[in-house]
Amino acid sequence: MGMRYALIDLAHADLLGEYATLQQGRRALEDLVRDEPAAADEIGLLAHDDNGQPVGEPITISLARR
Amino acid sequence: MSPAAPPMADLPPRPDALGLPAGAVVAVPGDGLDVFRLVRSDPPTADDFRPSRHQRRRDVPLLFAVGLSHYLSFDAAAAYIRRPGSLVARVNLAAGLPIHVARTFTATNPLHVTVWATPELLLAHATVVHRDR
Repeated sequence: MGMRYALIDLAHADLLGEYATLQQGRRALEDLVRDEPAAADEIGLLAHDDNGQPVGEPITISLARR
Repeated sequence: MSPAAPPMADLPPRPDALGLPAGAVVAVPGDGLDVFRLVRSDPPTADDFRPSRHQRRRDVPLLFAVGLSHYLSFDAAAAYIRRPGSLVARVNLAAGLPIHVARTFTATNPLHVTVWATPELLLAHATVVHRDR
């Protein structure tokens, strides 16, 4: 099955969307932050392994811009 | 003879186990189930149980605009802690109250559920759990 990606409101781990590829997830994150710049630090894209465990640090737009 | 009732141990039900297509959402009453959610203070506040403004975007299904992510175990919720100060609260979805729960986003995390209830109701049944990780 491989990695999956979820767009997450980081404060409460609210899932906003799930994606089969990193590219799809990044596109969704970029669209969201373009519409709502304040979300840059609040929403992240988080990889999940085959068992549904979140892996690593979330990708946020503000991190990507540094 | 009436058809056999489905087993009750696996609630909320898995839509695929019922032969439903991917993306189907089967909400059931909370019925006393314990679930876990990230919160920002101890004790939690009602703001910890309000949908965020990001959930009201037009590309988020309306079904999820008013529901809140919870997880079926402490560890599953704690695995999402990425910020200092985040805590895990146990929320008892007390039976007999207007609280519904469904498995959602299970392709990503099989222990993820969405809960629908008022912030006040969830807050009244929430307790921060302190556990060494």
